[in-house]
Amino acid sequence: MKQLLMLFVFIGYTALSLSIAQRIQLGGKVLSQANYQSLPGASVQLLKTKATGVTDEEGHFFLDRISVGQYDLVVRYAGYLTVKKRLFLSGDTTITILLIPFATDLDEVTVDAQHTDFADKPLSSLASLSAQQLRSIPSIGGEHDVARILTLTPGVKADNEANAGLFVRGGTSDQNLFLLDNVPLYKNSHFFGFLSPFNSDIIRQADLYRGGFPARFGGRLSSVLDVRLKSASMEAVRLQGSVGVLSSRLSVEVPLIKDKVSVLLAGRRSYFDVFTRLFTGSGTTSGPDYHFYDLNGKLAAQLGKHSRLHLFYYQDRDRLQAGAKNDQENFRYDQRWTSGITGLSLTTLFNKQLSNELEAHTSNYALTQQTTQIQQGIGTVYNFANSIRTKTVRNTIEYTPVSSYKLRLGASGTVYGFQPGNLTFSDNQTTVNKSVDSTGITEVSGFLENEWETSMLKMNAGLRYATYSTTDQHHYSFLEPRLMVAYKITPITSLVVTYSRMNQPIHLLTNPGFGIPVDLWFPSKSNIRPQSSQLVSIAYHKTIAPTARSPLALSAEAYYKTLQQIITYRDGYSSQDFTTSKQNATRKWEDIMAVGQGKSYGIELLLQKKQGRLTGWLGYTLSWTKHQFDALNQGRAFFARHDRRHDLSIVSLYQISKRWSINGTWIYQTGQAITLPQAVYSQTDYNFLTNRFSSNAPVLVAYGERNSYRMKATHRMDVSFQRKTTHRWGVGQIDISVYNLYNRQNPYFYYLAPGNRVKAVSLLTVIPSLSYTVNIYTGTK
Amino acid sequence: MKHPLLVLLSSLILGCTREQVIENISFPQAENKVAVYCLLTPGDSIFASLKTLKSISALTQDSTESVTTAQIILQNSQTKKQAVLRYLGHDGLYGCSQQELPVVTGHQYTLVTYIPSINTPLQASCTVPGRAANIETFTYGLPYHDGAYERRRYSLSWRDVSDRSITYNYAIVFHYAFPVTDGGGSRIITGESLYINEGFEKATDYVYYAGDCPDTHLTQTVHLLTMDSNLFRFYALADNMYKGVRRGGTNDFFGAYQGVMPEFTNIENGFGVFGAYLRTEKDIIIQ
Repeated sequence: MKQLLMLFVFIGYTALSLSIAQRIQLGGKVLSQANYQSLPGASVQLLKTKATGVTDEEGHFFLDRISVGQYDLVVRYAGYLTVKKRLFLSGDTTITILLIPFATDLDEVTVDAQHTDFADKPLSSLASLSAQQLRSIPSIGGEHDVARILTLTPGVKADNEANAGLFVRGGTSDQNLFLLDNVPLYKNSHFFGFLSPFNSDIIRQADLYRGGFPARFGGRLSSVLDVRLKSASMEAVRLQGSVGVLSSRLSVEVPLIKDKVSVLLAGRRSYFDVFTRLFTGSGTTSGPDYHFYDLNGKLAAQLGKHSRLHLFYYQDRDRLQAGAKNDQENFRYDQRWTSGITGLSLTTLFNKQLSNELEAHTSNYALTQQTTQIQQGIGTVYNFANSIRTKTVRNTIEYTPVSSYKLRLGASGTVYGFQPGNLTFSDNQTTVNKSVDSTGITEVSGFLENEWETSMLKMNAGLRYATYSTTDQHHYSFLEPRLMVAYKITPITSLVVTYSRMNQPIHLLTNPGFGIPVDLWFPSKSNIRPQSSQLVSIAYHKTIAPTARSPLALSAEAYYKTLQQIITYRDGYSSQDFTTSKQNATRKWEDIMAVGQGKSYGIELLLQKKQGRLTGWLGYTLSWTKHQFDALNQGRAFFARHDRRHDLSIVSLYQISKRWSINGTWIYQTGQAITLPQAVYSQTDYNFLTNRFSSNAPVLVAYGERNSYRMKATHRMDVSFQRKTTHRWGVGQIDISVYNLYNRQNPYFYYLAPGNRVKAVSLLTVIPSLSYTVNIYTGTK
Repeated sequence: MKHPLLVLLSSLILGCTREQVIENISFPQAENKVAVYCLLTPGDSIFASLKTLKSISALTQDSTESVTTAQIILQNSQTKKQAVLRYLGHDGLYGCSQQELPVVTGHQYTLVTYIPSINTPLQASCTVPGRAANIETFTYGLPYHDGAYERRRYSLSWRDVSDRSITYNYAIVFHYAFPVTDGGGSRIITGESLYINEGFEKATDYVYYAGDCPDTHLTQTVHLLTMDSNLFRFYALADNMYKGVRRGGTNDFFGAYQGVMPEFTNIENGFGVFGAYLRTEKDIIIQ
């Protein structure tokens, strides 16, 4: 502990010493000429000097240690014409740069140029996606899903082809921290896991950290998906909409007070229920009736010159209903997955060096099930609910004494409230309440983050301290050191080393098999410790043919991760043992879960072409993920279900003309690890009324080594054609996509069919889709 | 009654599924083990069945071979009285009379089985439940048509004798009889169904069971089994395994299980179950 404090003091002292060498400064803001929206992530460079920078989230940049003289300033941003401007600098200067978008580019306000290149960022283990990339990669049903696209990057896998859940470097889907405008989201999918909850039309930037976690992030083991939504235009009303096969989206940006207050409203809704109603006859059944929607609202207010207020709201719901009804009986099933976020943040810029962000937010998730059965005379109703609700207050100070050093300091408090299992049953005779007591966790945490950058070295060294106090009076405390060091070996090669320690006080139990997702959140308690992990990685980056018109970026990264206190269901148990009222079903969640450990290690390769008509990347991961639970597989270690030895993704984007482009992806994955029965034995049918065994003998099965089989390998090609259109009122994009072009039967699960034949079930065939997205703007262009 | 709903949900998810047989799966060789089944109930003879474990393959028939050369010794742990079960000459069945070894409520029994081809003896123990629960109330609803037959919902209740708040280990065996008229003429079809996992609820000291039965106006008999915990667990997991594995798990969309379905056994060094139960019954006539 003392050594760590010494390290931070040393880093701070060194950085402040460097500030003595500063000369004059150049600062400013980069805006889109189309709507005066700030452009975060734009590259700013003074030619023939070492002064380079990137605009922050408000479009600001800041260059210092510049000598007096004449310079050429170059500002680049994908989707915009590059600006080159000659400046004579004799003293500290502030300027505004307006960039002109390509005439037909739909993404003029949302492209995040810096983040289109995830390979060559000195921050290793980070994948960033821009809105432009989101819309370029082939969709399924018109949905350009951010989580699905991230599974095309090295180290990130989906559980199976019908699932948008992320499995990052051997971690499970609950170990991902999904942040929506810095607020955690506990529901990570729509449509039974098929889509992520993020509306791609309003995403400004999505960063997935799979290692080298900055100290400001905590509470999950394996990844942080930091999704930032765009702020509404302060200048003009903008309307964006999209009609697809699965759902439609609409977003509107309204400046309420010019240059002061604006509001963004966005919504998305599926229409499976409309289709199913069309096909539902007048018989005794209704449904199934399924839909999802999500709503986003964001109010931005400029308070004076130095403060900005954001009020953010998110709500979503998935609902599945089914039933059977006639004159004599009525049977209905109703399951809902809901989540909601309310966030408020106040950012104050005291001066160029010091800023403060104060945030308060709530986030909640609930799963509810209701089964109603009414048959003449006797009715029964089952209700089940599992929910989590959090309230957080956080403050972050950012201090940049010199351009080469940044200090972040923050503290937060979070109250978690859980209702693990509210279960009631009632009929004409009785009402049975089998609910377990509500419980919770109080988290208090603080962090310190140092970013230090020289021409040869970039370092982010941080420390996070978190305490978790459970309802049953147990306290857990963790010190989490974080480190990322990037060293530039030559102008075209660099080496990056990271270390992270993470802890997670909440646990998600996910059913091991196929079915409607019933994911249950549970808190840590005295006999269930928080999950924890340690991750080290080393990466090598190289630019190949740097002088060519289209250089290639190569990166190779090796990682090793250990996982402790991870959970899964005990053999034979599923959510039904907690959500239904089976005889002898336990009401202690620790009785249905097994606690164990795991490790994951591998090598990730990425070759990326970022310029020219043809762009894209080739990603390959060679990895191993093993778990060990005392209660499973007789205590022996076994490959995790999401262990994939080989994982290859090829993504190509080809710009045929200004308006037309063709894009394709091809993926290959080693098959999923599964367990198959190894033997059968006769149950020997017994008649309880006569106390006699009969010659009838239904068989039972005995299993062998857990996950010792592999399903068939998964591979698939998706393609899309896109055409951009220009109109007086705005721009549009037609998207024609084909999912699974050559109709590969990728296995979703295996089962043992009669005759002891193993059968594979595949879900998704070739799926063509068409979507049309428009972006309408009014006022100043 | 759940089936229409399950079909609906299946249609949602399986609407676009395809299946294919995976050829050339190489299943591992099974261990040389034997499944022993021996169930005790007071006032009756004791029987045991021994079957071998068989490696799975596409050629495996759904039956396994009998063991005919075993020596099975049962002992009452309280009275120390013991009996050797004789081979009955068919289907791997062994037995002894109640005079040779009476089954007494509340007593513990041990079983030891020697099999020539297996070095280690198979061992188990169980305790006969101390008291039997008795059905106290029976109610039923109005008739409805389930698509094939007229049926009625019915509900039973009994005082819980387990003295435990969570585990109470009951099963219902419904003996049904209903008339059928078809090309083969008119006749009464009879049979039994075991219900063990679902339909049971407990409030304070009473357990409630809800089910449905044919609306035949014939006398039906409901048998209530009060089981020891091993026997209950074996049959409950066997029921789960049947639904989750042998049917392919496709009937269970509320949390279907395609993972490892553990085989429960209390037979040390083997498979199967050594358990005990008490049985009471109630005749029901739906007017």
